[in-house]
Amino acid sequence: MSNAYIIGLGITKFGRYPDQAVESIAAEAIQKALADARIGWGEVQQFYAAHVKQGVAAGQRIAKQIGPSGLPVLNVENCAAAGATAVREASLAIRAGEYDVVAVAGFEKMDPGLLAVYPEDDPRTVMGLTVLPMRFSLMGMKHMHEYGTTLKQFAQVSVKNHDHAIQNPIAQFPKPVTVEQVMNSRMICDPITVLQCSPTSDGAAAVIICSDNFLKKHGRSRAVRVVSSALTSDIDEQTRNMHTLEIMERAAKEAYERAGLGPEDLDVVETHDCFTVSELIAYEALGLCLKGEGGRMIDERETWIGGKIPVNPSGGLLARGHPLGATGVAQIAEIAIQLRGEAGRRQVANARVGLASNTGMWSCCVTVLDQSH
Amino acid sequence: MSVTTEKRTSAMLAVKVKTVAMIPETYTPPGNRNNIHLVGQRCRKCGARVFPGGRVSCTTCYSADLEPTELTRLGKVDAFTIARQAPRGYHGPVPFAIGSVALDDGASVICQLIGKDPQAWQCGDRVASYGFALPRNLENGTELLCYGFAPAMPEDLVESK
Repeated sequence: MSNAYIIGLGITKFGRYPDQAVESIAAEAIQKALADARIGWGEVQQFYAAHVKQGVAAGQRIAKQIGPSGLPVLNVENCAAAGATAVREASLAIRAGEYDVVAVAGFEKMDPGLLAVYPEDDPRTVMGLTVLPMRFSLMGMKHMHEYGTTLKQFAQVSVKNHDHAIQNPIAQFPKPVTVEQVMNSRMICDPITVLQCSPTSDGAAAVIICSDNFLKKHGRSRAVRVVSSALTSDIDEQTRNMHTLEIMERAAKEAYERAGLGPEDLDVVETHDCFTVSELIAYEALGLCLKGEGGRMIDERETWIGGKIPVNPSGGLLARGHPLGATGVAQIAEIAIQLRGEAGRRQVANARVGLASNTGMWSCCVTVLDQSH
Repeated sequence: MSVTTEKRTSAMLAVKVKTVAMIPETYTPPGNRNNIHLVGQRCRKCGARVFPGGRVSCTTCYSADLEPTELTRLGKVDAFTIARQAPRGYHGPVPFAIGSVALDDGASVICQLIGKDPQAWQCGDRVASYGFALPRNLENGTELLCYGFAPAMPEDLVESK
């Protein structure tokens, strides 16, 4: 049995790169992570590749680009929760004593526009039920009805995350937006307007994870410990929990229990703001506040950098970008940067314990990290 | 010889014959008010009802002892949203409301809410199930009989007794 530590990380600048192959984007992140960890590809004992639509054996295609190794490769797909799921699998192998050093990379090169849900002739398409973002729209409208949450409160999440992104060199949209711009942007599906949706993006993020044994030789400085993780799936949201983030609540509860701490112990959070509604309701699902208080938290600026519990100092999916397979790893990398004290002008003061919450279709993976020293 | 001009009626003009296809195993044939019952699935072990059917096990008690069942027409709007643009493959009116309806017999359904201005819906509104046609294929003019929920009328409440 061992602890698991992140000793290196690398993230590419998220954006749209039509002329760059995904293998090249992923390799860039991996090489940055290897250099940051001061190790070579030859020392990596397994490679975990997180992606959603990059095709069969994408991990192997990329591994061959980095160096001649023949190492074990595992491709991990959990929709947009792939990234954190891959880090979880990697850290479990280290903790079980199976390996000393492993690498994780999440990567995606996306088609523009929305994911196609059902074939065009399907009755659900004819009925208009393929409209996105349906589930989070229903969730947002219900939250407004139940708790009086306002359109303005949802919109403020976008304002905050764009503001945070200005200080993030890898962010796709490091430009401020006003609450009026967000609220007046085109309404897609009430209450969600265009500027409240995360973009499609190309990008990659990678981390190197090692054991206690390896850390002794490597040195502890800049190492961040993966304390615990938890993975859940929806218990059939068709018949229950359609309008709640129950999967996140359950994953967070398990991650807290395994870590032996609670939401009050967190200094910094990265959560899955695919839409503003997702972040605001995540405040409640993660136990940062009571049910119905998400609106108050954003109004009172508690989740801005400098507030009581900063959320998405990276800019989140909304402003950092959302390459599906990369996001979960990028969230964990951001927490690691914060815990190392290397976040520059977006640094959260005295960040010692952090949490990353990564959701996908019907699944959620929550990770708790702390400074190892 | 006198020339008479025949009045042209719509019946004499070439009119595309619209076929309205039913979705198999989803609802009962519409009544004269287009009223339908959705057909879902009921667990014989614990009584839980779901829509759509076609499950292999009960989501409440895991039993495989399931049977098709006609659901009640009546329910209430649990949550709703308003789609402002047509998603790809949708050729009906825009904007349109989508609701998550909790039926009185325990099943829940996600589909369009019809019969009033999309922006006039509220959580808690009482509704009843109806069939309504939406275009399926613009080239050959076929339509699909879709299921939706409209504001519950007095006739709906009587029929359910």
